[in-house]
Amino acid sequence: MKELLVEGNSDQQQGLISAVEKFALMQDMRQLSPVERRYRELIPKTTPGPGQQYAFEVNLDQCTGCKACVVACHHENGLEEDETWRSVGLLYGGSSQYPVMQHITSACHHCLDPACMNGCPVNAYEKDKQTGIVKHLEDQCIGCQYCTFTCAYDVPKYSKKKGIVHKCDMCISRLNVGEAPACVRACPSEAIRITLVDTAVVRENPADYVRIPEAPDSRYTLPTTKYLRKKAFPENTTSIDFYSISPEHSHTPLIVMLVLTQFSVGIFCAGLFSGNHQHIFIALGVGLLALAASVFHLGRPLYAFRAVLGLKRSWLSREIVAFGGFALLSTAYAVDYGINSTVNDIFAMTTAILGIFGVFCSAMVYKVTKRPFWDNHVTTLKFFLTTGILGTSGILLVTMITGAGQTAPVLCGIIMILTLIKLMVEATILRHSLGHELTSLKKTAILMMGRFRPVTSWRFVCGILGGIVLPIFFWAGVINGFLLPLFIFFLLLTGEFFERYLFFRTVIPLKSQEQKFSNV
Amino acid sequence: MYKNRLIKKITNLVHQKDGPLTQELSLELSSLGLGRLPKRLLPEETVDMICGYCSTGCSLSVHMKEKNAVNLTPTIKYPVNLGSACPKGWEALTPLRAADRAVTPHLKNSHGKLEPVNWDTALKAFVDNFKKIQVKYGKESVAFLSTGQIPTEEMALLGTLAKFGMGMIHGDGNTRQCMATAAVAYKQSFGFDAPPFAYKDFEESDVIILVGANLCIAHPILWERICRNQHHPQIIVIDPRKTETAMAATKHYAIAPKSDLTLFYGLAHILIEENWIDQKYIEQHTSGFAEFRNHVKKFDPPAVSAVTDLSVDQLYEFAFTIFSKKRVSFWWTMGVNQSYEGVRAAQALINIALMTGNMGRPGTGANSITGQCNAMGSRLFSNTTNLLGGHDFLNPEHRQKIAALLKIDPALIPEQNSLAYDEIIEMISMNKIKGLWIIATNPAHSWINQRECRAILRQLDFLVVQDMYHTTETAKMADLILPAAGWGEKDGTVINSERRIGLFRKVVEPPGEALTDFEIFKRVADYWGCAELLEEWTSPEAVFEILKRISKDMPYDITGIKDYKMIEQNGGIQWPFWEKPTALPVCGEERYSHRTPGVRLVDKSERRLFEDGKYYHPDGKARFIFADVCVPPELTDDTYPFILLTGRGTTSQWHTQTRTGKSLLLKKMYPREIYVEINPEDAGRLNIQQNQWVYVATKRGIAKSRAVIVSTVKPGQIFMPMHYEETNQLTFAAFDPYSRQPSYKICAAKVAHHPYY
Repeated sequence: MKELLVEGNSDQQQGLISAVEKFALMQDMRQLSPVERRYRELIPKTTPGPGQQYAFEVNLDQCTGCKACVVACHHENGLEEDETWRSVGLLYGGSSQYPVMQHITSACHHCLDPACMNGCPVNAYEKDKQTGIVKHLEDQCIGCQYCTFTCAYDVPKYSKKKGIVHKCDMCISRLNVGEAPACVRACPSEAIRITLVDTAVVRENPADYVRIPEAPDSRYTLPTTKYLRKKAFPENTTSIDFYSISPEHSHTPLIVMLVLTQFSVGIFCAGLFSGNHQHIFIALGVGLLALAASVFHLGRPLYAFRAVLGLKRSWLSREIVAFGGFALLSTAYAVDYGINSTVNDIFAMTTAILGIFGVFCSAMVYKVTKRPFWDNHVTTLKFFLTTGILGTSGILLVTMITGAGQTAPVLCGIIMILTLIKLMVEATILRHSLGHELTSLKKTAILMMGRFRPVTSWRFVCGILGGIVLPIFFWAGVINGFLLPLFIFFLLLTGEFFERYLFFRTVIPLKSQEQKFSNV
Repeated sequence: MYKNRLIKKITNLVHQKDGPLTQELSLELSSLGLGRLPKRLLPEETVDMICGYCSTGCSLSVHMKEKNAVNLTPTIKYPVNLGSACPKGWEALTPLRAADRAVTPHLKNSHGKLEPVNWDTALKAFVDNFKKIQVKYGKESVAFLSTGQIPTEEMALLGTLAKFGMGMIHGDGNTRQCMATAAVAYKQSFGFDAPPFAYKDFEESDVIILVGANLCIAHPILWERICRNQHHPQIIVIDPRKTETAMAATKHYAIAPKSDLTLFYGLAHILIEENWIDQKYIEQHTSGFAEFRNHVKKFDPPAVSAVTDLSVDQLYEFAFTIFSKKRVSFWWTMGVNQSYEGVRAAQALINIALMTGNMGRPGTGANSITGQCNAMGSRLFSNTTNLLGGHDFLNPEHRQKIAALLKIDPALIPEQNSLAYDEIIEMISMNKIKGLWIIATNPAHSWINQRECRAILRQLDFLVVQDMYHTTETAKMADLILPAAGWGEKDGTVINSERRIGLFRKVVEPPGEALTDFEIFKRVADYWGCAELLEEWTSPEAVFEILKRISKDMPYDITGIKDYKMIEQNGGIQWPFWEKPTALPVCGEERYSHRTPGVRLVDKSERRLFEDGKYYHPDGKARFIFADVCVPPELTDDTYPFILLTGRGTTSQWHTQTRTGKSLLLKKMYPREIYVEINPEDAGRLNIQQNQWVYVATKRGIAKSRAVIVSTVKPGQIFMPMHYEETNQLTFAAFDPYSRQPSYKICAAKVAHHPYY
């Protein structure tokens, strides 16, 4: 037996065998190893032809939830310490007689109509013409993280350290030389493979792809991953995370940016209507402040100028350009007014329209993410109401300070009406908490009334006090002077900040993040 | 040229497709045959070693760059894992870099606070305190608790030092918690603790019966081996829960908790009644069958059906499957081992394998899959339950033999057996053991009925904990912490479930002043004044030579293994491996027969035992061993109506999480908070909502847990994973009378909305 085992080489020094020796050994093994051979069978023999692209195919009957794919992907791609491009979810369902437990491994679905790419303001995403793989261009990314909003599958991952996002590229450089992607190679039960799909077939039957309970509607982005399972899922199948409701990140710079741009546009327009032109300086100051705030949201602000590239597809790009233009025009306007003390109406109107378009873009930025809390007309309405309320109350304050208080009652009336509408609109979400089914909107309502109850309460206190109670006093002439308008404005502004804070924190993404049983 | 560069710079400013950030993620072909790897982590060489978690014994190729371990991939050529690993293996290097590594010894000061000291002070305190205790209370008042996580050489050194050098009588390991039952079962049935299988048997079976084994979660790479089976095997899982493995199997028998022994006797009953047995094998190779036949007479199908929750039809179907297929293999894990009657349950499986002739042939066997990476090294060489190398402390000849082989005075070898883990704990509670040395294990978390265990450990005069981390639940209770090197920071050998000896290699320097356990033991010997006893024990590889000497003519004879290098070159070597080529039982296909420079690999790389039907009892026969079925030690009642099951949670978690809790990546993949799985019917009745906090209580303790409502647990049963500290505050301390293994798997519990009701 011993003779069979080792031949010669006995007097070689002990320790590690040399690299050359090992290389030869490995090469030999690679030719022979059944594993290698099988792994090669898990990728297509040919590259995609016309009308085809690469796609993941997962045999769920073979996935046992070991998660080797997640960790192998991490190591074979050299990701950051806790960075993962793959995730494994868990579904439960069935009855005590026939219980069903199913792990779901997923990475990027390399969609035909990728929402990450469509939303990117700087064209940092490309859909590879040859392979159909959705590639992210690391050096082009400015770290705006908008793709982490638009992707329905929670695929792009933001790295704070690097200031950019990363995502799965299906190990394109491996596939190009006939190697299997890391996850395919690492799966002990061969549940993941790469196939060729006909894009026309995906377009015709989008529902056949990512056909998993609770998965977002495939028609949205046309994902290409196919999940195979012999038996259909029982009707009551839900993900293990379904009942854990966790808040999202607050994105503070975006809160500041949104509220202040809307204030800026609002006061500009309100000033225009009320014929008071000093407001322009406030509008400009606030607008610039808003833009400055937005920069803090970027991982690589130096490259922010690239945002013009995505105009064709991206609402974020349009938003940035519109507000950039608004800031530019209002600066010119302010300079012009400062020097000449006259107003060019067409110039003013153009600026105002650009600003209003900017607010509209802001709303669209969130609407297109399809997250139920963001994806309705309420978002647009809310943003414009904020514009109106803050603009009017700002002007009210300005007129009181400058002593031109004759328009005050009208302004108060407007404030009261707008605030009343806005508070009612916002309150409508809370009725979802009474719903029988645990919908996405009900989860939002639960968060607002549960974990964020204090914020929600203060939001309404600020709104009612600043937008209704104090204006009534003011209207009735009980109190005069500029102190009351100051309070009104301050309360309304605070209220809007609270509202926007809730806007970000209580939204429920289409796919929940990988955080089983996290704190509610 | 210059113009082009300028144009490129400008276009890059606007739209940059390549650059430093892209390059950071770029891959490059490795010259080591590992395919494309991250460019910045491209290895100059790889070092292959066995993973330090479970007993599957996968090989990992650690990537070395500038003498640093930068990454790893599972070894492609290794016959165990064939290029795969579970998440723990892939992440094996990360826990070494944890911030809470013990980097200097810590000694309790006069205020009772642990403070850093140097090694000299630490070892003086170690020796002074233990010697003082021994003088005051007798030699046996100092004991040790060791582990299945360190290499065999270190275990042997510890056992030798403690028992022959320091005069300790009692020492045991955490392997008591995982494989003691299998060891005793084999020893009694086969005459020696010899798991008979090779993993290859997974691939060659027609029927694979998994009892209390959730391979998909506990041993994912062994599940891979099942997936490689080309015979379209029937995979039968016996488990009260619908585990991941039960989901993936072809058949799941959800028996009532702890009705396994009844089920196996019932199956034996049917097999005998129907004459579905192998008379020839029974006559030639076994003894005690007539008594066994008698014993199982009373286990008629209706009675067994009533106990197991399986119908009579299911019982016949099950028995017929065993009878009708040629190659049937039986595999068990902790569901059997961790039981108050685990030894007899394991032996009931052995009995069925024996009487159906499912032994010694490809794809057969009664096979125990164990827990820790070196459980088997501990079984053979820890010098705890057995005298070094599977010998007997009570046998004067054995003592003589070992003394001669070690060149020591036979009088140094204790003439009495060591107490088992639970008995050591009990001796502490009775103040008979006052000093305890714990090495690489965490009883303050893992021991059954943990609260009582902690209270008892507090009774000690001096507690030494030798560990990688100063933050384990046990280390926090210590009087002295000795900082130890971990896996990847030292050399040695380990033995996996299929008897394969593999290597641990040093690829990372231990942090700070941490030392290898080997070095710590040597220093202790110096300070204790028994260094001359260990003169020959200079390095792990020198110790391996001693172990080879001890193994001569034993069932696990490894005298044919020349050195570590031979182990490495052959992809591990299964015991036995004799020096002289003999008619070794062999199995396995020609796996890698190609010639490579200087090396020729194992032709028959996977071997099983008993192909000749010869067992280790003096008569060469295997024995049928059996006993009456007992009632569970704790039964449910009106106050505690639920049966609490415990087990492994996910593939990313290992035991008490001292290591897996250090990896951010692994932490992402398992629930942060302790949870309890409960059936929808019970949850509905108790008005418990999904994901809600509930209180699980037993007579021992209470644990606030998240309710996970799933129908994979049956009504009346609840399941909690063992990795969370609270779980073992609930478990009931019962033990198998033969193996002294704790019965973690069953106790009575209640679930409530409030802590007190």
